[in-house]
Amino acid sequence: MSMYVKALILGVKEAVKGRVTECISYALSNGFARGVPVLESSRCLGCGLCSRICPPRAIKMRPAGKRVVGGKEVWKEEPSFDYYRCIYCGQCADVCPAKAISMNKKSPLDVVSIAAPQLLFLEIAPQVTSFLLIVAVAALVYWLGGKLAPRGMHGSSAKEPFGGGAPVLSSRYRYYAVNLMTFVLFLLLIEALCFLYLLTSLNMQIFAVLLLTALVVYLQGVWVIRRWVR
Amino acid sequence: MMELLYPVLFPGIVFTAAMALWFEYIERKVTALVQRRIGPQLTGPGGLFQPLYDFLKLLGKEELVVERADTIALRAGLVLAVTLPIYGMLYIPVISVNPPLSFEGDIPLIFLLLAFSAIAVALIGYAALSPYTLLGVGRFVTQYAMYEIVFMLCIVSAVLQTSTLSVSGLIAYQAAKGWLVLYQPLGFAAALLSLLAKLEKKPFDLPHAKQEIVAGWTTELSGRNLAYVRLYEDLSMTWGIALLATVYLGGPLGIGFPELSPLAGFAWFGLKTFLLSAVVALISASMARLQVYGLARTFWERILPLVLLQMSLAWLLRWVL
Repeated sequence: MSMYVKALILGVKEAVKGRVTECISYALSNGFARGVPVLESSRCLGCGLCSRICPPRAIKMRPAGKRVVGGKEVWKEEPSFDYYRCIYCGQCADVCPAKAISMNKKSPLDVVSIAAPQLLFLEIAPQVTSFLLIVAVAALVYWLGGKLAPRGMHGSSAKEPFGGGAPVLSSRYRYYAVNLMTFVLFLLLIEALCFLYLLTSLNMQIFAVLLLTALVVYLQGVWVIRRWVR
Repeated sequence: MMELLYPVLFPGIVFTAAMALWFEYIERKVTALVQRRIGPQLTGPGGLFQPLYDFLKLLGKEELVVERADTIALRAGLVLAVTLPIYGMLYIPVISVNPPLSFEGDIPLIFLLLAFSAIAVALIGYAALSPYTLLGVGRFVTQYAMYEIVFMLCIVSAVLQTSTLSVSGLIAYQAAKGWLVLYQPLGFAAALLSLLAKLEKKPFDLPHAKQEIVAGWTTELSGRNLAYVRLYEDLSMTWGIALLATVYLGGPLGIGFPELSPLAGFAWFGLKTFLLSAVVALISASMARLQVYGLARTFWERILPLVLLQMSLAWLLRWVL
């Protein structure tokens, strides 16, 4: 019983002692709060220093428009802030050579409105959204077609696959189905690797490697044809 | 709002579906001409709406899914198969030099879409198990291995010559130095042949060879499933032809395109794709089917060395031009 009384007394003591945290309006006025990093796009050089210095790696460089460097048009990359990961330390604003990032000192409501587009809707590329949209429409039309179509009464023979005399109870292992599927997946993997390789850069060594691979694959194919077909 | 407009209306669903049905009409008319028939005539002016009627009719029919079929794989495969070519059309320049979703490096993405549409077809085929669908998918996969490498290397040689990895870069190069078909006629011919194989048109229609294996991988489909497979075939024809027109024939480029109006570009694009689809239909209507091993001999022993030669030439042209 005395334990509970002690806890109560401790609670009352702590309650009258004073606060460790501050009211947000007071923190904004006395300069304790660092604020929210906000980018001014027109001043940004696209150097990427902010994304390097960021301790929680909350800044990603994303391509945004073009700029002219030495008479040549190149892609310009701008930082985009992930306010979920940001620890609001302000190092990005300190390191920015063009002073394009400012720490915006505002009340929490304003802070939410700055970060809202990212907090409410996750930032998705238009390539992804349009793909999902097309999938949704295709699925919707398919579903509607199924709903509108009439349904009749059928015997069990209506749902039997067409065998044409051959036994219909074939498993996936017949006709080399599994081997072929493995082959396709392997081919897909190789393709994806090639595309990634191409995406990184395009120079002479890569061309030589690609040509060599194509030659090897070609010779392999000829060998397979000679061996199995004739 | 514009973000919704692209995928749904203009180069997206509505436009691509309309173009796909138009191409099916052309194919049926040309096939009928070759076989000395009339072709579709009753619905619409000259039977223009016949493909649309066929699609709607099949969509409204009852579907019978085979017993023990993997329904989830079947439905996922069908929706994916229809989605991929429409999505691919968003990377094709139709009325402007820059496609709506173009980014640096979209050509590898196009390759990946081609590969995934093959996976979708394999899923549809394997979902309903019967001897004929299994045979059909086996043939389809073999054919995929044959044509895909040729098609890929053709576009890779175009990429090598123009030293860009985006569709808009290809168009910019062709605007400056002329159509790529002038530099790479071999690559164009090989790409056209592999497109025929991809679309399962006549010399290479082994995956659903009518007189041999009933209807190949489409044997067990009916109702909306069959409607979607037919739509997939038309859509993938549209996308493939648009891709060829963009890579080799300069897409919307032509007299009066960037200066006069974007409609001129649209007209040029329509003309080129119309001619290409007529050529594809003519070839498929007048050819007889290859044997299975004839496919391997055609692609691996005859076309692939030519394409490798073209690739080396393209690499040289990159430094010469």
